[in-house]
Amino acid sequence: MSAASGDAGVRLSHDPAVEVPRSPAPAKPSRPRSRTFSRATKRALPAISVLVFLGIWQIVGGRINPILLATPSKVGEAFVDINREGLLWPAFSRAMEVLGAGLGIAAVGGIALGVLMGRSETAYRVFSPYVAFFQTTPLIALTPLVVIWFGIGFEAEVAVTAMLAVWSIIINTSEGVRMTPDSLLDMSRIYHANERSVIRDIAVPHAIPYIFAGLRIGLAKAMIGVIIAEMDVSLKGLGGLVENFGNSFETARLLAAIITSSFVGVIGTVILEIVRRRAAPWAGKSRVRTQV
Amino acid sequence: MKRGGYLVAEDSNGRVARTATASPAVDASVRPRIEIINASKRFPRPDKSGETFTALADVSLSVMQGEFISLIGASGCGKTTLLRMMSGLMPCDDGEIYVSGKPVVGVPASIGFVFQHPELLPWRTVRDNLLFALKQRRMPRELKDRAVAEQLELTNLQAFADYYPGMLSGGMQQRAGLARALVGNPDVLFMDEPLSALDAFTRRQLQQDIAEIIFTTRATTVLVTHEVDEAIFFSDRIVVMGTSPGRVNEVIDVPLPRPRRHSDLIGNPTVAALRDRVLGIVLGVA
Repeated sequence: MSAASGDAGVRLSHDPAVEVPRSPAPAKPSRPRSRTFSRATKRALPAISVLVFLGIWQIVGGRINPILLATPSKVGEAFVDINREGLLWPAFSRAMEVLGAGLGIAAVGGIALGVLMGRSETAYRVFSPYVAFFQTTPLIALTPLVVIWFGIGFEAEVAVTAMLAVWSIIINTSEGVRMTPDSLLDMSRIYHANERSVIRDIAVPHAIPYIFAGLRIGLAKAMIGVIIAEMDVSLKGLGGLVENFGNSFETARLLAAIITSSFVGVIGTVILEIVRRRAAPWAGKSRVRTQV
Repeated sequence: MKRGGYLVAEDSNGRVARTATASPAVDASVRPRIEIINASKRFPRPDKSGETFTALADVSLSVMQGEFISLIGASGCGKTTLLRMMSGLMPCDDGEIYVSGKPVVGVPASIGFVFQHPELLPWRTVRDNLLFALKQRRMPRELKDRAVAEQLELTNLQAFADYYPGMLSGGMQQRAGLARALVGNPDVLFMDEPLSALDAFTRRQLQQDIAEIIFTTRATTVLVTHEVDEAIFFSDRIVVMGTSPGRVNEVIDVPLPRPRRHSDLIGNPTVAALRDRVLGIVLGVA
């Protein structure tokens, strides 16, 4: 952030055509120096924290029944084992596929319905009871119904995932579109913008931070969908591993499978963040903005 | 459009019918660019009593082609309401408003509007913000690009064409707002306190630049302001408005050649006398 601000400031102040000078970038506030930690130590603190935690876990875990809790070293070994047995990678990639397809469908459908509800008061009134109802219903209970509709394959898992994720995306999108400032809509009327242009040029770009907030919440819910669907529906993939290892009390392997599923979620989050930066290149830069 | 549903059909039909019979009798060349005839506006009171208060009562005003007028008055005098009615953002309850000889029903075809805050699209570069004003025009892309390039040059923004608004200072943003308002070569330019959010030095500089740019384009301009000095600096005529109900108190001529420069106005006795007079009316002591 500070690099971007410095860059813009230099370019502006060197331009001779400028009559109204941009006020200088605010100086970086000098932070009071911490007496407890040096800067390097502060940076390393998260890593140190994790290492200490793993150490305590290793010591405590070594003293109790391995069925109740496996030690980190055992979990590490379990990773290597299930990878060698060819169980890990297919389960991981399958989870990524279900997540991608489920969240993708939820995103397309959710954003479309959200925009419609955000722009049309009628659509908002027609659809909001359902959104409110499904948002608060524990939809995972509908999984058996999904199995009846879609069978026990990939499609059913994608359906469960999308069904869980879509509601937050709808709500956030419609809220973001509805929050479009009236002043920008006035501006669009001055230049005779049609509804298509208002949506494309104003409402959706304005809603992008909201949409991505919805996608992040949707991603968390989708991950529940991915694992639960595999546990309940197909007994394949990561959910299948979790179910099987749990049933056979292989705690170290169970934890390894769970950690892998959080990796899936983390990768999803990183991809979302990359897409967000590409979709909203102005968003980072706008923080450089001077007052007034 | 969702929020544009205020166009009352029978109202518009009635007005269209009236101008159709009236306009042939009037020579278009001498007809004022803007005509306001007995316009009124009432708003419902916020307490849900069902009563209304009168924001503007029976306002009549004409603005000639190329003229610069300012609407000035205390808050609540309806100056912004009047501007929004002229620009078609808000319908009037009684009376008629004509822009370029046509009754105002919705936003007139060729106007520009500079808002109090720049209202640029943060997700578009300065260049694309200007293009947005031309988006609905049926003209080849090359002509649009050329019009935008020329306008950027006129407003001294060439170097910032590819900047996002968030990277510009407030003064530069408002300059871009003016460029967008002018890029379509509008018949009428409306400005709603466009400089009120800027510091005094930026404001003076921008006032001079705007005065010159507008003088070059010869656009008819209506400015809403609460700064007496700003009104005197820009205007051919100053419309001093009063409150409860909002109305036109007095219209004052500014007999100084345009475009003006602040340095030329220092110590000018005409300016001093005008300032006293306008302030006297605004403060209710004249």
